[in-house]
Amino acid sequence: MMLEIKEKYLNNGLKIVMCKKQGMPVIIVNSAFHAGSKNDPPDKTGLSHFIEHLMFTGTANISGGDFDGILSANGGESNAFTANDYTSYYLTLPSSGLELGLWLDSDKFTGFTADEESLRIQKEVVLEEKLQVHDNSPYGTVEEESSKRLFPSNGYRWNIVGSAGHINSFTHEDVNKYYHEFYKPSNAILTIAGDIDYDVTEKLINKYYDDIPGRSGDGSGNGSGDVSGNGSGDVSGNGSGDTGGKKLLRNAGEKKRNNPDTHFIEAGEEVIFDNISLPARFIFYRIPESGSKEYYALKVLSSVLSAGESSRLQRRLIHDRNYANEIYSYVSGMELGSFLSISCFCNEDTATEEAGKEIDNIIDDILNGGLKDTEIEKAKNKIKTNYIIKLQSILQAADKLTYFGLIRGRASLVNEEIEKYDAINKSDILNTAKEYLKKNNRVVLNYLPAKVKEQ
Amino acid sequence: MILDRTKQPVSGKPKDILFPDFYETKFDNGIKLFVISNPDFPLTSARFLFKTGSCHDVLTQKKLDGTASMTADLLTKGTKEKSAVEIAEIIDYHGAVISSGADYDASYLGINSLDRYFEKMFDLVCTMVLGSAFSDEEIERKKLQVINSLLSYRDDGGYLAESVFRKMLYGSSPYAADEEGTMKSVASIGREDITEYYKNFYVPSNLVIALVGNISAVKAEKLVFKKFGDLKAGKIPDIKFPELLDAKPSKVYLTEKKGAVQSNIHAGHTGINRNCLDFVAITVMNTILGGSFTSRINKNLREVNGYTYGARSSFNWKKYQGDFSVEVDVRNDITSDAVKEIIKELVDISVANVTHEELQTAQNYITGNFPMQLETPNAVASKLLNLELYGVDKDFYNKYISEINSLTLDDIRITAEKYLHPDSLTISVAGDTAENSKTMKQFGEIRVIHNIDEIE
Repeated sequence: MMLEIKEKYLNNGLKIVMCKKQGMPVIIVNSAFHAGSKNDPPDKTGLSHFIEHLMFTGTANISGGDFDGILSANGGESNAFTANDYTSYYLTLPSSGLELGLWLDSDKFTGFTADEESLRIQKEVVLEEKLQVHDNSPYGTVEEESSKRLFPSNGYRWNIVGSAGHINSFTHEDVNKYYHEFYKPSNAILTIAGDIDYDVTEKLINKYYDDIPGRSGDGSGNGSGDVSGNGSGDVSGNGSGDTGGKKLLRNAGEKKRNNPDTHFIEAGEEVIFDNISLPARFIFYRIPESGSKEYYALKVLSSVLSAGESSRLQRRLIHDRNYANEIYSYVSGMELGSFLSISCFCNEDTATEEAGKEIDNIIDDILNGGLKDTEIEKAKNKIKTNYIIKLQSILQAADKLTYFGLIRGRASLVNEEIEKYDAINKSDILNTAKEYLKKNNRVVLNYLPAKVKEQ
Repeated sequence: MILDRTKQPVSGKPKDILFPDFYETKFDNGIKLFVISNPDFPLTSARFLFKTGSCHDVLTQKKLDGTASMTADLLTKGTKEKSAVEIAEIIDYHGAVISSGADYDASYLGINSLDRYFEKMFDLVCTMVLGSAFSDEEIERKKLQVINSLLSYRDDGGYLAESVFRKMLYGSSPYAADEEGTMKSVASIGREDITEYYKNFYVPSNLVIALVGNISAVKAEKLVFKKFGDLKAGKIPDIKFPELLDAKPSKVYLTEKKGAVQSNIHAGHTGINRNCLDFVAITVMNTILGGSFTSRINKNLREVNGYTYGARSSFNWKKYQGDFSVEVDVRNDITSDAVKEIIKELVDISVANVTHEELQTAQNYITGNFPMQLETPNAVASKLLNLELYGVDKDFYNKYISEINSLTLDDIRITAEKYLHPDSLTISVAGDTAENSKTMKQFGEIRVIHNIDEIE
C-alpha cells in the first residue's frame, strides 16, 4: 500500500508535493508553514493561530470574506489548523477547480489586507473559540496546565489559542511582523493530492507560485523559523533554554519562582478542581522529538498500553477493576521534544490515586520484563490497520504528506512509516521506556470535581 | 513576467458523479445484503444493522430507557464460546477495529480488518450477532460505565441544552429520552430485559448486512448465506408515536450550568422524517440558512457580529419524527442578542427569496462536496444502509444532483415557509440562569431548570 508521490522545489524555495490518487474526481490543495504556536512571541501568545484566522478575511487579491464564498460557489470547502510546530491550510475542490484552488491558496503569499474591523471581529471569534474549547469545557485546562509544566522554557509552554490578554493586544504590526518572518516560500510546503495529472498540475503550480519572491534569510530550509529564538527573548525563561533534540528538561523543577500562580513541585502531582463529575488523572512523560527511534518505540508501547479492549490499561482499569470510565494514551509528535500521555477518566467513586497506582503498576511490570512478544505484535498490527484506514482518505493522506514533507524533510516518508514500526524490537521498547517513563520525568495532574472542594 | 493575480480563474465543469456500483440481494428470511467491492485498499469490513433502536425500548415489558443501547453494547462482550476478554484478545491481535451500539432507530455491529484476516473476523462477529452471552458480570460492568458516562455528559453545557430541548420538544415520544437511558433507568435494567429485547428485535427480517472492501459479491453472498440463510424470518411489533406539537408561543428553558462562561443555545422545533418528499429542497434551504460555513446564520453570528466560534442549523431527521435546531455557543452577556439574530434569519429566509447567487452557491457546494462523502467504500455502505433503514428509494443518489440543480428561488422560500416556525420555538439555554433570566423573557415564558434530574 504505497502512495505515488512527486516532490520538488521551486526556485524561491517552496517545496512541492504531488500525489495522484485513485478515487473520486476531487483534489486537495494543502499549504503549510513551518511556524506554529511555539513561534509566538512570549508576550503575544496565540499570534500564530490568530493569523490562521486572518488568512480567511482578506489577502491582496481576495477581499474580506470572499475566500470561502468563492470556494463554496465552486463546490469546495476549506479549513485550517494551527499546531505547535506548523500551521496548515487546506481546501477541497472538484478536480476541475484545480487552477482556482491554486489561485486562492497562492494569495496567502501576497500579504494581508485585513482591516481594523476584521481584526476586531476575529479577536472576538478567537476569544469565543477559547471559551468554547478551554474555559467552558470540562477538563478544558489540561493543555495549559500540562504544557507549562512539561516545557517551562520553550514555546510549547502556552496554549495554542493563547491568552485572552495577549489576543486582545494584537496589532497590525504584530501580525505583519510575524507574517513576514514566517510566511515565505522557503518556510512552506504545497501539497496537491487526488485526481490530478502531473504535467498539468506542475504547469499550474509554476504559474501561481513561481513568481512569489523568496525573502532574505531564506535557504535554511527545514525549520528556518529557528525555534531556539523562542526561549532567548523570553522573560520568564530560566536560562537553561536547552529545548532542542533529545536532551530533556531535567531540571524543570526549579522554575518555581517564575510561576507564582501555580504550585509547581518537582516530580510532584498537581490537584486541580474543575466543574466535572468524574475525577481524572492525566500523566505526561517527556520524550524525544517526533521521528526519533525512541518516538517510534514509544508509539508501539502506547499501543500496547491502550489500543483496544485487550490492551494493558483498558483491560485492567476498565474491565478487571472497574476503575475507569475511559482510558487512553498517545504519543504527541512535536519536533523539539515531545510527550507520551495517559488520560484516565475514573468512575465517580474511584480515587485518582487508586487508578494512578494501578497504572504505575502496569508500567513497572513492563519495565521489569513483563512485556510479551505477542503484545508487541498485536500493537504493530493495530497501528498498521489504523494507518491504512487513514490513508484511504485523500484529506488524511494530504495531511500526512504535508507533515512529513515540512517537518520531517521528505514527503515520501509516508510510505516508510510502517517499516519504522516493524523495525522496533522488544529491547528498543524496554530501553526507551526505562529511560523516559520515570517518575522524575513526568507531570501528573489530578482533576477533581469542584464540589469535593466545597465539602 | 509577473502574473496578474487579480483575475479569478474559471473553474471547469465538474465531472459527473456516479454513485458507486453495489450488489444487492434479499434472502427468503428477509435479510438484506449489500456488497460494495473495492480492491484499492487491503481492507474488508462487515456491517450489521438491525432496524431497531432505543425508540423500541417502550415496547419491552419494563419499558426501560437504555435497553436497546445496552443490548447492542453487550454484543461484543462475550458469546457462548468465548469471554469478553478472549474476544478482545483475538480482535486486537489481528489489528481489527470493532464497534457496536444503538441510536434511536437502529442497532449496529461492525468490524473493519485487513483483508487477509477478514474471514476469521467475520466468523467471530457472526457468533456475536447470533447469540451473545449477556453475562451478569458484563451487564453490571456496562451499567456502571453507562451511569458514569451519563453523569459526565452533564458537565457539558452543549449536552444539557440539547437534552432539555429534546425532552421538552418530544414530550411523551420515545425520542424524548437519551439513547443511553437515564441513570435511574439504566440502574434498573436486568439480564431478562436485555435478552427480551434481543429475542424480539434481533430477527432476520429486521437485519441488513453490508460487506465492504476487498471482497467479491459472489464470495460475500456465500459467506452470509452460510451463516444466516437458514434462520427464520421473525417479525417485530409495530410502534405508535404520539403526534408532536410545537410550543405556541415559543417557550424558553434555562438550565443551570455551574461556572458557565458561555451560554449553550439549542433552539428549534419539529422537523421531518428522512423519507420526507421535500428532503432535497430542505437540504439546500438549510445549507443557505445555517448548514455551511458560508451560511447566513454562521456569517451573521460569527463573521459579522463576532458572537461565536461557529453556529449551525440542522434538520435532525429520524425514522418517525425529526426535529430542526440551531446550535451555538456564545459568551454570557450576548445570549439574547444571539437568539434575536437567529430568529431574524429564520424569518428572513421564509418571507423573502434568497439571492440567485446564494442558491447557486448552495447547489454547487452540495454537489461539489458530494464525492467526498463517497470516498471510501465504508462511507458508501453507510449511505446504502441508511436508505434501507429509512425506507428511501435506492436510486435516491442517482437523482440527487439533478434534483438539487432543478430547485428554484421560489422552491427555497416555500420550503422555508413550510418547514421553519420562528414563532413556535423551543429555546433551550444552558449557562448562567440568573443572568439569562433577565434578558430572555422577550422570547417567551421562562422555565428555569436548576438540576436536570427535575425533568428526567
